[in-house]
Amino acid sequence: MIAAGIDVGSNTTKVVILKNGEWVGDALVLTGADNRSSVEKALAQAVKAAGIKQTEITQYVATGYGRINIPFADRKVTEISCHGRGAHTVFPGTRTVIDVGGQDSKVIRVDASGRVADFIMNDKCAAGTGRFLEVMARALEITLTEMAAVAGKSKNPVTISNTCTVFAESEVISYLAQGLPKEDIIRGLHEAVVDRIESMALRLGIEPEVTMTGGVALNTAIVTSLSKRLKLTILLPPQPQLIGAYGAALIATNQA
Amino acid sequence: MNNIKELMASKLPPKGKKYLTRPSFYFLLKMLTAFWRPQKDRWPQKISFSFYLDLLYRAYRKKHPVVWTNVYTPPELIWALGGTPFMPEIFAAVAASLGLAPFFLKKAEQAWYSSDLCSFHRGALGMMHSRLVPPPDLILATNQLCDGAIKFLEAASAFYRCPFYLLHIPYPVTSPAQAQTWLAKELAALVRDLKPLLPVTPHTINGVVNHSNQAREYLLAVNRLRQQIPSPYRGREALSDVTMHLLALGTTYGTTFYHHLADNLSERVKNKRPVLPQQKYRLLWLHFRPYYPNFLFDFLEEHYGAVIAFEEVNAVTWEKLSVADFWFSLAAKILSNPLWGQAGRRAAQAVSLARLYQVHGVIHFAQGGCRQSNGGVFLLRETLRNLKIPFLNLEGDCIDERNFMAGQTMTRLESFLEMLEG
Ligand code: SF4
Repeated sequence: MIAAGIDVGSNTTKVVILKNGEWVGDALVLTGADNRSSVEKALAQAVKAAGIKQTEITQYVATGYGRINIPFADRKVTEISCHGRGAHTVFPGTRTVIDVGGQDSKVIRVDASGRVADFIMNDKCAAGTGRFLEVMARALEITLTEMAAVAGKSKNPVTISNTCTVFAESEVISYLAQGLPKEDIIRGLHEAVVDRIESMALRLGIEPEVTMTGGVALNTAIVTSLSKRLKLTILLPPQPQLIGAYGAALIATNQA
Repeated sequence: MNNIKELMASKLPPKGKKYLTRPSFYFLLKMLTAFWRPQKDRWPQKISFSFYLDLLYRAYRKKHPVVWTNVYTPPELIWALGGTPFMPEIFAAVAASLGLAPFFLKKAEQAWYSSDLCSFHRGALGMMHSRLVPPPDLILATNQLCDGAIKFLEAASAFYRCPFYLLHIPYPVTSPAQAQTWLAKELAALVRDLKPLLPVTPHTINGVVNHSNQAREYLLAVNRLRQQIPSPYRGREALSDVTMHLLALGTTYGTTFYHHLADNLSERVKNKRPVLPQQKYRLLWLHFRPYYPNFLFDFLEEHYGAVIAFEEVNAVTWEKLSVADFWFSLAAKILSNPLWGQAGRRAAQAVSLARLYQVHGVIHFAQGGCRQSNGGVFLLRETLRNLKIPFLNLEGDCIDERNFMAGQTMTRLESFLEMLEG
């Protein structure tokens, strides 16, 4: 039985294909303005990677903010359930999932069987999400991948006091104008994101083990700082940004 | 100062404003409504529509003093005094349901009201500045439920240059009996002060009490019928009906509205005509709902088989009023409102309603800028969580559709329902 999970996020669209529950193919493409064509593209790539024909896929589950734009999906499930399911399958001891994506961040509590027991999402603003870091990377003329490495060099991080992304960007520009070292500004930005995630996590209550998913989990500076603040080890799946799609594919598999 | 004068003098669209502020317009509509013969199910809607037309007719006709007040001031008080109660917050919700709220909200913001102010008040203030509400002869504010209401009504008193009265309602912390006696005296004193403007007569008290008590009985019957599984009535509609018990209790409209509604629901139960034959989830709704057109409730029903089985704002928390002891019984009614006072009272009511209506989960609609409701969320959540009753704090706005984020709101709601699905 072949099932596909499709996660249409604000930045990237991800597809994971499972054959009899085994991960056989995946793909990640930029979402762009047209959800449907990015889904088609991602599916085509994932199908190729899996070495199957698309017609062999019998179940599709769509997730992510663009899930409503996938008419052929057999079911649409929220990112909360998918990340919960995906993370719990990778690390069955997971009881808390921290998912930080492009536009949303969430803390999800799951029970012993991977079912969502409670959750919290960021308020309707980009602070504490991948988008925040992306905007700042642009202001600092640095790539997202470079950001974490540069942050690691900081000795004296600045405090970013604005939570609003637009105002924080002006704050960054004014720090640059004052001649403060880039690494201290970048580290300050990371800490601002971690602040938001930490307070959400503490609000919901953390139960170990904790697994982090979503694209921001690739940023080692964020993960290290968060893990220090929460005083626990954060588990990282091999491809954290694909866990939502993986969870969707697992749900699709169980559905068949 | 000039700005204020300009705003006060402003002649604003929408076109037809001059008709909307004439009693004859409402009289005509009332007459036309009399010929409307809806299906039996829709009779309560006809009654509430007629009530609002009549209210506006009375208010513009000016035969009875128009008393602006805030929601949860018992309307019986003003009806008994021979006044016409007018709750601008309710009309902000009406404007929202007609898609007009953004116009009024912008109007209020132009008049320096912060966008942080609860949109019920901002909407009402925008209507006031647009001069699209019947002007008050006096204002009677209460500190129940929120301080914002007092400030907004004080602004209205300055705007219309009319007297402002404040009924101070004690926070029933330790001694509810003492609070009741104190409030009854305050009510009696207020009525003495108001006598030159609003002369109360035993005759009016009698009629108001009878109507209020009858309506209460019917509302109790409605609420009992709503315990049926599957639900015979949509919470979305009930969250609109709430304006009838906020404003029409003590009038024939209030009584006939709930009488018809009780009859309708009992027929639906008898003939097995529930809202959703395949109902899967029953939910308890806390606070009010978004009143602008939105797809939330349809979506819940269609995709998850979920209905709002009951709402805290429709609970009957008060005992019958008494003609002999009118002020005392009115004080008891005011103080019985669990939305007033310690957050624990509200949480306790949520638990008992959740059990009574056998709901699968509780949703608190966290109205932006509503300190009185949002301040108690921690207690609400903890109380329900300790009893393993799933709880969702859904942030949003009842009036300001500009703050409605469809995608994010849906994700939260859907995730909650997926959580219930397990
Ligand atoms: S929603 Fe809250 S702040 Fe707004 S009027 Fe009601 S009690 Fe007051």
